[in-house]
Amino acid sequence: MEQRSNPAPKLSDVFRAQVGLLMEKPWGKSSFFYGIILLQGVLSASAGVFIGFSIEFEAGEDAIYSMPQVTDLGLEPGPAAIFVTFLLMVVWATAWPGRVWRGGTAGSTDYFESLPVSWSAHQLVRLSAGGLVLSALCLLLLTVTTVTAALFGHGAPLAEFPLSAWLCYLTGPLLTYLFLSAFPMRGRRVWSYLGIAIGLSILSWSLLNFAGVGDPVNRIARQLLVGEVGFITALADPILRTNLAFSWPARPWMPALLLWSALAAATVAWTSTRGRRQT
Amino acid sequence: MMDGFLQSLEGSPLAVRTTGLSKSFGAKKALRGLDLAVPEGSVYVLVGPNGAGKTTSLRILLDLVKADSGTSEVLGGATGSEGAWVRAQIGYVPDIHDFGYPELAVGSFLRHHRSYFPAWDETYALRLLSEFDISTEDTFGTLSKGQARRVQLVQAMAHRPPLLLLDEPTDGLDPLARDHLLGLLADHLAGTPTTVLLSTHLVHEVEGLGDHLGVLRGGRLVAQLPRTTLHLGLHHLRATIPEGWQSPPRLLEAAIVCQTQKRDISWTVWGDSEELQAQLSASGADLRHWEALNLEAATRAFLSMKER
Amino acid sequence: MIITIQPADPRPIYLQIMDEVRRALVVGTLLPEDALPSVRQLAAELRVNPNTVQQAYRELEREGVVTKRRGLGTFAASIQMGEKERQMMARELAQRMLREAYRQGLSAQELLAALEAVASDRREDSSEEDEA
Repeated sequence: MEQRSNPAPKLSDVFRAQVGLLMEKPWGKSSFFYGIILLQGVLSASAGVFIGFSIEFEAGEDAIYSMPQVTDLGLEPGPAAIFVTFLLMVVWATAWPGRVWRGGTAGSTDYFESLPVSWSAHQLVRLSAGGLVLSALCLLLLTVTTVTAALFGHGAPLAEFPLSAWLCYLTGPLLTYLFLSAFPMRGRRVWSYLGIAIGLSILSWSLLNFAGVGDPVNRIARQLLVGEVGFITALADPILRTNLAFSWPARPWMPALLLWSALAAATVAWTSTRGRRQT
Repeated sequence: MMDGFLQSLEGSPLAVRTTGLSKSFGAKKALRGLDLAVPEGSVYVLVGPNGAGKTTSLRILLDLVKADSGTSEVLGGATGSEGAWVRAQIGYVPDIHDFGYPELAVGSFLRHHRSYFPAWDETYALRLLSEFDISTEDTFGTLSKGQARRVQLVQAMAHRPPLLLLDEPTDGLDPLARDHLLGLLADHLAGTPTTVLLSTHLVHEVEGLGDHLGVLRGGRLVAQLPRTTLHLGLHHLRATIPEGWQSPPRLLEAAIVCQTQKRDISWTVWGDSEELQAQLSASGADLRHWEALNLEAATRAFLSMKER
Repeated sequence: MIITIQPADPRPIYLQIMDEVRRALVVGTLLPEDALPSVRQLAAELRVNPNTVQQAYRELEREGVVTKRRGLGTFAASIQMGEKERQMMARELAQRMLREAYRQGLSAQELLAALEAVASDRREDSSEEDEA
């Protein structure tokens, strides 16, 4: 028999294919879906604006973990809108590995591993494709929020955000996604990777804690690392909790935030579940 | 005397070669020293009962599973260290048909899949799809099991790989769909030089396609040989024996399956036809029936023979 | 010409295909100079390995039953099916009948006697019909 040798694909093509897969339906074809994302952006922005009107933060040193740059700038309506958007992005980032790895079902794992790319290169390519699409989404949300805030007349403080702050809003969700990806990536060879990742995270976190807290560079680094973890610890902070507490009668921003939460939960469920099958 | 029915097939160029492949899942031994040899250009039918290790063998060739010990090569490349190259040479139809993207349209999926195979032949893929009566607009969630299987076959064949690994390709298909699928497979083989390693537990379905047979039992091959050799060497005999008949030792040695009832014997024997028939006649038995076995009957015989 | 095979038949498939082609020539569904189906066509139609069809065609060519023309395909040879081919077919059939007879515990003589008896019955039947 004539001996043929089929070529292996270029990694750039594989990257494009993975981005394409993530942009597929429901992203690609349903304008309804785009509508919901935009609506979420608008809702989060307006909720943020109203939060800014109705509560005041006594932000202490602890709260700097909670949200990149927000405490430095004070919670005026514009920045508050960005804060809520950041929360949304973190929720997205938490669910995003599920979309990229499809929960690692036996069928999909088998399929992707049977493709002619080395296992580690493939995982890396899939990881970065997911990161790219997630960042694009976050950028979209940030843009919508900024524009909404500007329309409400609260754009001025946002114009003063340093570039590093904007970068933090993008890297925060990205790091959340990268870290959580270790779980769906688990498989016959991944537990070792996961161990290394956890070890390194704990090590660098403690190093940063011992380093000077007041140093702005360190602060940014800490915010980068502990994005969503910091949010949880900040919720434990009594001052912050009092300020965020859902007291009755409802504050004017609450319906918007509740609707946003419901929509976010629905979209996350929609995109990351495996969906129904016909028998 | 001819070779045994467990041949190493050395001498012919091999598309797949494994030596001493072993694999356990916990306490369960899936493979126990598998020496698979698939000659280039052949259609090798790997047959055995469910759980005999067929799927595990194929998965090791794709490096989806790592063997505990032993080596495996595809077209000269080691499946572990040269996994990516090896997989580029393979079209694979797995035993699972659900790959977790129910909302994806067939067209979108094939567009994605084709990025991984520079040798992809789009015209051929579209022709196969239309022959299978599948629209590119259909989403995976709405495909029946049989349709999903056919899409898998398209994705495996459209880049014209030198090796096709088909794990129970006719599983879950109705008779008409199965027949159609086998026809397209035969057509593909005529148009593209390909080695096929096909696992099944329903060997009669691929009776016409297989030209090599491997019988797997309990994680080990009990038989491996070309079909032509099988035809020459394996026979079923019926004979009437006199009272107190003693089998000639050579014949007893050649017997794989022995059924004896009073004066009637029904044996399956392996060996030189003329020699064995002469032995039988010389012993005083009256030979009534001597016939070669088809793949299915041969498989049954190999699976029911006693351990040697 | 219609070619059918029995996958369950223990006879090698290429022999079955060869028999079918010979039979078609004898009964006249395949005429001299007629084109045979291409290897690919026949393989896809019978769901058999193309190598098997190729082997059958090769053997038939060696026997002079078909001829291959480069780039055109395989054609039935221009010779008429003669007495020799008919004899070969009869022989093949006789072998199969004898095998079956042995399996049933019948001897060749018994089979021959029965064959003659059945054939003469038939002759009588058909002559009666003619008279009626």
